[in-house]
Amino acid sequence: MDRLTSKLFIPILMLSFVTFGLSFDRFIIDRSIGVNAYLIIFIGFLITITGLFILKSLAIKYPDRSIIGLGDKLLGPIGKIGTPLWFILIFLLTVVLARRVTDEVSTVILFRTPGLVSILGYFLIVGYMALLGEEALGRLSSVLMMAIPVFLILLVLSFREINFLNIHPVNIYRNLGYLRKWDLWLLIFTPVWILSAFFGTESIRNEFKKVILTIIIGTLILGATFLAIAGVFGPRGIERYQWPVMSLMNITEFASSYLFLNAITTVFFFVFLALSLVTTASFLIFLAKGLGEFLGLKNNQSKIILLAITAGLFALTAIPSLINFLETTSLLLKVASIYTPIYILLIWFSSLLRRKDH
Amino acid sequence: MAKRLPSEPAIEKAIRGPRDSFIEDIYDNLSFIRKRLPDPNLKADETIVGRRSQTKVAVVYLEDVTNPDLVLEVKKRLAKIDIDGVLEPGILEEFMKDNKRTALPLSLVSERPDNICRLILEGRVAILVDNSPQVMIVPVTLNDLYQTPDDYYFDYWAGSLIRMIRFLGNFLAIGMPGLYVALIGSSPQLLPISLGLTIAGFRVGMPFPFYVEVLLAEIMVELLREAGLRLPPGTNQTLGSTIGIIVGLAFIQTGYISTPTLIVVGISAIASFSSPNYAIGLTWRILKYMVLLGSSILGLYGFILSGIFILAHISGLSSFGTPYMAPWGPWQTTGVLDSVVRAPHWLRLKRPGAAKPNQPNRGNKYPKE
Amino acid sequence: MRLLKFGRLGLILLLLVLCLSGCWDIVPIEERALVIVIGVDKVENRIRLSAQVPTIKNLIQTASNFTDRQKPMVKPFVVESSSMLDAIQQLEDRIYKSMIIGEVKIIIVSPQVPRKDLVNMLTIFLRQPMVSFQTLVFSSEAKPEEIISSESPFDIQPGLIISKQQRSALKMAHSFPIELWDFIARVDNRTLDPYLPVIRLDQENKSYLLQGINVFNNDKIVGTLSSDESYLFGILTDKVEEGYKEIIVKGQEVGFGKVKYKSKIRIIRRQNQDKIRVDVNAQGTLLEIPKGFPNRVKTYQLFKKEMEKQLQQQVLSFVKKLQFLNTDPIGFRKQMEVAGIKNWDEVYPGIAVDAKVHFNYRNFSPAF
Repeated sequence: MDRLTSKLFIPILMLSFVTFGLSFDRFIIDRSIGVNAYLIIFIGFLITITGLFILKSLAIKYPDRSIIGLGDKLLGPIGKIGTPLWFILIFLLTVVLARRVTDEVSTVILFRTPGLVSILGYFLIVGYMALLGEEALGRLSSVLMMAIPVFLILLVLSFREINFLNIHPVNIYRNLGYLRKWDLWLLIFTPVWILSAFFGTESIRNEFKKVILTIIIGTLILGATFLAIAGVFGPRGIERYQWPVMSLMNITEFASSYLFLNAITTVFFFVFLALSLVTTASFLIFLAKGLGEFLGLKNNQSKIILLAITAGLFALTAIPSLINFLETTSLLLKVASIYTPIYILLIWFSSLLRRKDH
Repeated sequence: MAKRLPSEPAIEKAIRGPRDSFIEDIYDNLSFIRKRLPDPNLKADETIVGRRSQTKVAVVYLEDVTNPDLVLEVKKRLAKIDIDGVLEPGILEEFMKDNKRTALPLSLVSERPDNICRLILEGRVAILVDNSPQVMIVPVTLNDLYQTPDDYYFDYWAGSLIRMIRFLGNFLAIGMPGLYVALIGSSPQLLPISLGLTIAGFRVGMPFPFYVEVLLAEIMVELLREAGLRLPPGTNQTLGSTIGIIVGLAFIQTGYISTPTLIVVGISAIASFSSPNYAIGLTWRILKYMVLLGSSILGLYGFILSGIFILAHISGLSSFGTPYMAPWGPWQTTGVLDSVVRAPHWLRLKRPGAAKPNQPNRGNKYPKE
Repeated sequence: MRLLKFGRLGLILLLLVLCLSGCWDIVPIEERALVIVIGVDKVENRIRLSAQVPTIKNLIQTASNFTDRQKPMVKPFVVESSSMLDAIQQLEDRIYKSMIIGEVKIIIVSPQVPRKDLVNMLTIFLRQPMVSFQTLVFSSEAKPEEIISSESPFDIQPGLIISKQQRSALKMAHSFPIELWDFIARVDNRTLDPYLPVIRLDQENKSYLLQGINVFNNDKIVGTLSSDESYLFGILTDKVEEGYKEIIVKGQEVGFGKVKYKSKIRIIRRQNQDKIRVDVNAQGTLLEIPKGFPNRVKTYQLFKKEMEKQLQQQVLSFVKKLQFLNTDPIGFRKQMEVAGIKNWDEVYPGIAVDAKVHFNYRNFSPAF
């Protein structure tokens, strides 16, 4: 089922991809990964590009169905369990994303305001954005794409603080143990799989090169970000920060004047929050419309599902304590990021075994 | 019946370009358009709207350029209107809007014939209403509301600068009071220390909380604005500015409103007039209060949330099927070349894609007969 | 649909809840105490925390058009407690306004603070929600509260004077800033040692003297570099932007100005011996030719050779001093780690050092 043209889909894809990298930075780079672990992003990139080729072949073979419908059709009973499980994982992933963002807001800006209020405000806006539909979200993403060059400028300014000895490539051949952590990097590519499978079937069919180029640019941006973090704070220094990217922006200087020192943090906060809202809304639309499609609901019934899911996301984000989150987040992120490509791969294998359905 | 002679536009003043404007007679207005576009493809389809007023309404378009689906849709929506009287295009606008609850204008109303002709040449449809000197254009995007014919008459450097100032002005109009409240209320560490201390110094001893102060100052400015419209001509400028200065000074001297607040509100008020379209200026004045509310409750976080909310709302709008956020969302290069910067005319050989014109090329590429 | 209408109503109610829920973080700026400088001291096992808060009325023109510049611009607050967090709480209790540490630009640490506690204390500041990571940290010989209580004849807040003085471009040659995040990152990573610039009160001029550096081994202070040694530290870390340099040639002082340095540190590995090699490229303006020296090319060549020789000796003896103190704020150990020396931590104090200085004239002064 075609959802969005490439002009609307590619901005959503780019923003969501970059947001995952900026939001889940803490779970991706830490001391155990080693000094040159930023290079593993290329492994995640190669796996994802392979996945896009798989999605393209599925999109060409089944132009009238989305991946949700394919899971149900091709995998039979496995699909009937696998797809809802996928929804649950993406639902929990969205909760973690929202909590990461609102926790950062509570820590950096509003530290007396109860978290419930920040989360409520967050989901009211996200819910409204999702209610407008994916086309409106695509247009908004297209406008907010201007945030990416702004972020790039801030990133380049942070390069001044890099100590190149911290990211010297000697560890590449000395200690390959960090390659075992390749699965962590899949996390930032998860939105690429999900959004391409659901919203981007038309773009993948007709503008595949543009989609690949978008992923390449996003990978380079995130790779440069993690490189900068490793270079500035050093492998052990990274561990101290809950939000390494935010901390990187905190130490970035444009000029010695205090006006500019603080301006960078403020601008980054604007950029980050805007991107996070778009990403959360895109996942919310995926969950609502995907579930509606899975259950065979009409369009207006999907809106009710959307409101219900928003309420569920709010409840699950606001109620658990910080400890509960810390205990479950790492495992959940790993499971969600591995399950998504495996499930899509399973669907593809199944499609290879069947002839095209006329 | 006595008719008014065409005079200089009341709101859309021309710095360079023709100084005539539409009048209340629909046929005279049509002749103004025909004089500028003596193209045999220029069509004017007349209809009657309003049971009692029996107002003549003309739908004007270029037959070979304008998308026929658009013309059909305009006529369909006009036909659906069932009301006793139509006295002004604004009434038609509310009936014909895609989204009836939004505060943003989804059509452009102009009193300048050259402006209307420019937009007809881009493949849009003009709606003329008898007894009104305002002509309505559909579809429009947000970008169109920041354009004036003068941008095209000056050199593209000057035109671009003027456009950038307009956009900056509107950001200031909508965001400045909210940003001020957010920064001094919840995040003073993001202000340079000297500025923070200066503002703190001016606010010592103020009776009202700063967000109430901003609100009071905004209401005062709105009152002055409205009162100024109704003062007799000849005295309105002198009296309005005198009252404004005296009252403002009195507030500062007595310590009811602090100087930084008055500066912020003043800049915001001036900036709201920077948009050439009065309707969008009014809209920003309304939305400014929403941003102010968000900032007052949740500081910088609330400021960003309300800003994104407004952007999302605008992204969800369309005008006769044209995305309101075009040419930035979705990206249209031809439109972007005529948005914040105005590309030179020799680069603008394609019509903007907003109205999906049948003939995208402006240049020497007319179809052979 | 009815359900959607209820949904819309529910959303509006939630919005109302948000609006009426209160503004916990909205505190007027004039009711905040914007702490600019914080001093950390330890007296008889108790932490002594001092804070410099500007008195707005005496600092700038207020709404009543009254500025009392005769009265002090800042008010110091001093508290004592057994722990840092308790001390911060006590400060909050004593200042009638809502204290905000997010504006802190300077942290001054006294030499009495036990070194193992220093990092813990500094990280407490780092963890405060609004603190700027770019806060400058200093070491003070006197009590920090003396510096905090001092007034300045300049018309800006004393804390800002210190930060402007430290951050000025093309000015500092004997003291170099270190930011809070950098100090802590160095301690965390354990390869590059932190340092703290030394601050003193210049009682005569009622100003601040920033000269010298306290050097650390990880988080333990091990010594102090004099102003000349700090200059050499600046040379090897490319922090000296344009300084003066004087050498002695045949008993006479020869001065160079606007000297720029570019250093390169390498580790040379040979079967017998590993070596640290320091290459310094310098470029400067010859300011004077003392009496007794003819104004000729030979003189310039002589000065060049002497400059290279003397600077080389100074660099060598400076590096040896660092090795003796077992401190490395420059990055030799990191270079050794990258070069593949396994037990670089143990090898560092005894490794051989070689230095080479190349000097070129940029230009001469207009008049000798």
